[in-house]
Amino acid sequence: MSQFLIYAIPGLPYGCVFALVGVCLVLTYQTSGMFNLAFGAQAYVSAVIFYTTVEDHHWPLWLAAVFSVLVVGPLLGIALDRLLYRYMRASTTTVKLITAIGLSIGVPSIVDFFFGSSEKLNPPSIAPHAAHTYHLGSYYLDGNGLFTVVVTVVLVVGLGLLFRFTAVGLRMRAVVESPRMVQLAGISSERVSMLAWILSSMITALAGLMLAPIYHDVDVNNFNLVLVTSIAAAAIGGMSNLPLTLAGGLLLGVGQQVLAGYLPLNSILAEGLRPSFPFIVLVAVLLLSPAVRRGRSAPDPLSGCDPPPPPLAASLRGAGLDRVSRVGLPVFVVAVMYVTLFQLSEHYLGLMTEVAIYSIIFLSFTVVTGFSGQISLCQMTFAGFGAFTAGQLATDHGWPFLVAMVAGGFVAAVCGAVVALPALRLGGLYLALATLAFAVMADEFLFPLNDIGGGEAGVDVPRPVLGPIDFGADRSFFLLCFAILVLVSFVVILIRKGTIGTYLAAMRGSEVAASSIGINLTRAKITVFALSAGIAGIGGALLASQVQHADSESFVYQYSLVFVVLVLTTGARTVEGAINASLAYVAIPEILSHFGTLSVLEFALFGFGTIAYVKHPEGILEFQKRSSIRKFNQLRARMKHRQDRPLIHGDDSGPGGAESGGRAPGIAGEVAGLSGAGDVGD
Amino acid sequence: MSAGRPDDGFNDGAATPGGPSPSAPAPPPAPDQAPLLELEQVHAAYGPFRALFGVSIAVPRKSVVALLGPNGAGKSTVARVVTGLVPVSSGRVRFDGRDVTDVRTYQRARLGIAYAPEGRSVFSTLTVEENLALPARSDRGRAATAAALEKAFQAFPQLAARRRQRAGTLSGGEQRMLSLASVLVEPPLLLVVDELSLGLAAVVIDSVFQTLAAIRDAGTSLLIVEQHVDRALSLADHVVLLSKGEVVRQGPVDEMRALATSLPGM
Repeated sequence: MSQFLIYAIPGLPYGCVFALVGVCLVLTYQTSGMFNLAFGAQAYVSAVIFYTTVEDHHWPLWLAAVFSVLVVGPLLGIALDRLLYRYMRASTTTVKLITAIGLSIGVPSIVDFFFGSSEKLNPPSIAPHAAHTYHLGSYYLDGNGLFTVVVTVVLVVGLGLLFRFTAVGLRMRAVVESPRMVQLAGISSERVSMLAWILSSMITALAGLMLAPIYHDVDVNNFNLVLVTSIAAAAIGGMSNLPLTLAGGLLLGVGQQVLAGYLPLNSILAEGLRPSFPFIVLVAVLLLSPAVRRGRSAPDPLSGCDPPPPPLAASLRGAGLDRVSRVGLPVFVVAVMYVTLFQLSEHYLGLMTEVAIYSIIFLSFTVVTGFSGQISLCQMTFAGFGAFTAGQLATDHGWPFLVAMVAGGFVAAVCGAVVALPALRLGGLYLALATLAFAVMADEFLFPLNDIGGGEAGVDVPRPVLGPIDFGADRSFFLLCFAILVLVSFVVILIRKGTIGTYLAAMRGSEVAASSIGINLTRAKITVFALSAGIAGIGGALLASQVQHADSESFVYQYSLVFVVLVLTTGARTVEGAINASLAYVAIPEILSHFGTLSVLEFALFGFGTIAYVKHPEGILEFQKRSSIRKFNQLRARMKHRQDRPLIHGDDSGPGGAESGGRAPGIAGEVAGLSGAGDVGD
Repeated sequence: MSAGRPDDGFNDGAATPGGPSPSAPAPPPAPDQAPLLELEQVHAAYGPFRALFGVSIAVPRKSVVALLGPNGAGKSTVARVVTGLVPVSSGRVRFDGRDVTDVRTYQRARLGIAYAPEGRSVFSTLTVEENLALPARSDRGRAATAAALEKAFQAFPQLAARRRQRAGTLSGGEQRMLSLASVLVEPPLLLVVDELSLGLAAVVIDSVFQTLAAIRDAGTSLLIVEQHVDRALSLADHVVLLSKGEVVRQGPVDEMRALATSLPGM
């Protein structure tokens, strides 16, 4: 028992932070429907401001703490709520998740731009007597840890009392179920949601200040790792139950320490358990917890007031745009090929090769998100599995690279199926969270293993050789990558037009109707998820082959987050969208690198692209293309209209018009409205 | 708030020549004669789907107006426009002497417009007591809330027995009782009732309509959307017939009775 406590007590501060962050996640998810994946970014803002004001401007600790927790935190919460979240209440899970991810990428980049991206080591603790060690019998805890425990207990108890016994708490619980019914009770639901955001932003800021000293560093990645563990805690609480979330957080914090303590030192299990713990717990909860499987059981009874979702026709392209791109695309491709092969320098040839390879990886998003509407946050992890498999097989076992690459794709596909299996039935949010936890586990545990990622040295990945042709030269390698991109594009189009694609299109129309005509949706989703993981795997193998090396740093989860945001922003439904995203990903840093310090803003640019995504879920470029076609059609229609104008004009001003009274404009308006709608749909 | 802008009074209120007097509650025609609720040429739409085409309806003070019509006529949309849940695309909504077209739903609720929506209309995750306390707490103290709760429980004894039970576990009839009880806690000027009898047993419908009569007798005007024409006519003073988003006929109940019962699709 005493042995147990020796391990358990140092785990308490961690557990408390996990619990606190988990409670924040539940609070905002329940009151606004946003799962706040931008937690890390928000905590980072406050922690950096606290650090800067104390270290650089020599503010007293208490003033800096008050400023960053009670001023900066709530202001950020209000800003996010007013500028962004307020307009997203009726948005889909995908839009909400992508927006939060975009913020989690963009906000730290902005912070670094203003406060410098240098390391911020050994941040001061806000705890009184932080360095003092408190002894409880033979067990001990440092001042910062004790402070964290006390603050968490106070906050969680306070929140519990607030929710159960106050009018504000009652309103917050009511808003969860139906903001509209709260409005009908004479209460501004938006004010209630904003209050919840302020509250949770303050707690988030406080968590940031308490976390930084534990990790001895102000680093947004640490906050994101905490976030992943806290997601597991929130899942234990079924995304709704605060006491269970608290218990879950404590369990995770203490459990990690205790298990690490009992397992033999430096063994694979001891090293791997800590990073894998959130994923394992999350999967266990997904499989076992009835509360999670039931999901949100009470939909808004007044959802009938929302406009119906746009008909499927509106999410497809018009025939005009299809014709234009069918002619335009080959011309464009030939031109690009000519310029790349014969005009560009080595440097730009390399960039174009990257464009081709990233396009392949991005096409995997097109398949999983564009076709089946699922969000995967570990595509780059699958790419990593593809790369390491291909590299190991080619280097150590002498397989031809192209065969090894296909094998890598296969391994990635199997991984994809295994990850997706428990989460897919729950869909949306849970799949995204499970894939995020999986990506973190792979980064921290699987990829550093000697048998997978080659340990410190990494894995050598050769350039392919096909019979007499050696793709070692950059120009021929570019050609190969381009050929594979074309091949993969055709596969993607075949998936869309084939049976599975049709099933998925039917599913997007109506899940219930699709399953009622005998479509096995789960199987279709898993197939598509595995296929997309396979495509990512092949892309990953090529990516590693280009630089002839891959290690555990090459495929970290942050890439997946940036990529998913980028692809969805440019357009996830089409092959073009993926290629555009890839062009942007390669070109924008290249352009920014000419502007010195501005290059920090690269990720801010990608991240805040999501704001455009909120408005145009079909993708911003896709929207632009469609609207230019529409404008062209309108122009054509107007030209035609002008010829007919005398007739219509006469009708309007004729004596009959005045007599027909109030009803005629209504009907005329209706007809005009209908023809207008026809134009839009075209 | 829009009533504070004198321009509105001139532009919309062609029938009120006395000039704008925003602070005074009563425009020149006596408040008892001006209708409590007035919809003027209201158009409304759900996204691209247009639902109302120039609907004009008036609900006089202390009266019951029944809104009848076949499925898809726009009855529920009228109810949602009155409460502000669906915005009007053109036209005006006036309530209690002021233009509320641009007033938000929660502010309309505070002005005295209550809504009993179609189907499940209680907070199913909150207890019966919490459901009743939510609106009552808007600007009262704890004691007043408790008094209001007691009043509601006296009116509906069967709810009192379930005060700590989650509202989602109540039967359909009890849920309707609960939504009416929360109206009774703070009697509004106007109660909009949308298909209250839907899916209820005949006995339960009887008691629901008795409750509605009691609410009317307490001085609340009612705007009733109803499929059960007979029951609606038994309570109504005026009848409005809607079809395809337009008012077909409206008038006092005696004139409309024959027409209303003979219409197809009712």
